[in-house]
Amino acid sequence: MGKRTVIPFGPQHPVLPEPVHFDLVIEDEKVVEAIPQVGFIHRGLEKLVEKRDYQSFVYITERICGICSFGHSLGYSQTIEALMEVEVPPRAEYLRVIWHELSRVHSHLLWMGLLADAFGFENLFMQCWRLRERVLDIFEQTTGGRVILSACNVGGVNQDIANEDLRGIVQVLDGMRGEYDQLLKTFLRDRSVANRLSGVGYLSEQQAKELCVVGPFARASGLAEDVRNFGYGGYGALAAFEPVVSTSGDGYGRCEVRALEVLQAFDIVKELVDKIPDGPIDAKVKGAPEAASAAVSRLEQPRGECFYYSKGNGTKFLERFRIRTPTSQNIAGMTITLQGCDLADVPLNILTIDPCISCTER
Amino acid sequence: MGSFHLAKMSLKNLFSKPATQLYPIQKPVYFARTKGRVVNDIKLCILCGTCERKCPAGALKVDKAAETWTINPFSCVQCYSCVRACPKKSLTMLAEYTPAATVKVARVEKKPELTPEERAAKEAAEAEKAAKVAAAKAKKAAG
Repeated sequence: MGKRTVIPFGPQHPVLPEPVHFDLVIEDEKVVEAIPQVGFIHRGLEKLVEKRDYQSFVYITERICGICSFGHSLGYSQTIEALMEVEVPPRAEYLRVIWHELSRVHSHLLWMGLLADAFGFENLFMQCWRLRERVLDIFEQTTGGRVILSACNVGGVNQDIANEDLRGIVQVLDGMRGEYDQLLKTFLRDRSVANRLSGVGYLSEQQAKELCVVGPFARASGLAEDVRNFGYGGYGALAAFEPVVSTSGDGYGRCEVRALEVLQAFDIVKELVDKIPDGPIDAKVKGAPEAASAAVSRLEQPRGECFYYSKGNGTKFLERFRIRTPTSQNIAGMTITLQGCDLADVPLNILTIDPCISCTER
Repeated sequence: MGSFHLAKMSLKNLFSKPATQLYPIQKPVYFARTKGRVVNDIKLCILCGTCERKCPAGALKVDKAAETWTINPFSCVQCYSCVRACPKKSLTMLAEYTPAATVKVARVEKKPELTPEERAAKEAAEAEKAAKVAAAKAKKAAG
């Protein structure tokens, strides 16, 4: 048995896109224990509900995180709509899901690029991000923003997309498929990628269940957990929805789940564009949430289930707003996957759960 | 399992044009909806202050007494709320971004001085409105 050493890892580290700190207890080259610490970019955004009225707060929720930007504005709007019993027009519901699935495509492509970068496959990294650029162009074309969309509001959406533009989006996605298939093959069938990912950061189904991990992290361990199953919003219009599940439980499985979810998102967008009804896109919301009224809503973000809670106090300012983000659920699972892994695998291991620390700390 | 699955794409990229733009030599092409910066057609503006109330970033200031409309382009978050709320449609969102600057200066737009004819027309309109209000008040008092 070797001597135990504690190595600090992060918050600034070349492989980490966001600041998270670990105290890694090392024995020889193996990690015995990983003690996580967050709190480097806390901005107190939940407290800001006291300063911004419920309608302009949607712009704050968008800025919680750059990658899950649209998802957070959607989750917040859904919660306030539940709080004030607002009925959202069906076209707005469809448009929201289309934007949200496109967000999933860009988030997963970003992550796949970062993963490729982490195991030193620079070419693959560049190709993923090049493809992602087309989704960002769709965002800019339809909403005017590339990252922060400002498309969702309480009661509906701000902009409509003309039906021919929607068909244009499907054409762009169809055009991406050919190139994406090559990337998919590289991620899932290339020996160099498989050697680096297989067996890294294993989490069993039982552990995933006990630690309540969410999103692709849980689905890679064989748990078919996906909030989209419940058919909230426009997801109810889908003919069938089957979450992508892998049973390998390691980095390769997480890569597989995310890679296949991109294809699933393409199909969802295509199906909804075929089905989208005409009509208004925005319901007028007046008044303020009633005192002591409370509402919750759930959303499947690219990183997993995100839970929103809000409470009204009779004024235009909310009493309380709270978000439980997917990464805060997954940190416990991440520390378990780190136990027993090689020190050299730590960065890759952290990356495979796709941590979003901006969301976690808000 | 196999190797070199990316070879086809890599070889193709060797002989194709770059995917990126040669900025600033090549000017970027914006979409019609691109949110660049907010401008105000001050002649149309009635200084009602709706934009100031709607702005989530507090970037706008409307001074009725001094007849000025001020925007701090570096606080503006391009959310489009003001443009959507403007009753006179005097605000528009340009696709070009705010030019880079070394100092963060707010942009002030002042209502132009009125010509004697315009002032006379404005005063006449105000007098007419006041007369109408007075008439309505008198009618209400009588009725």
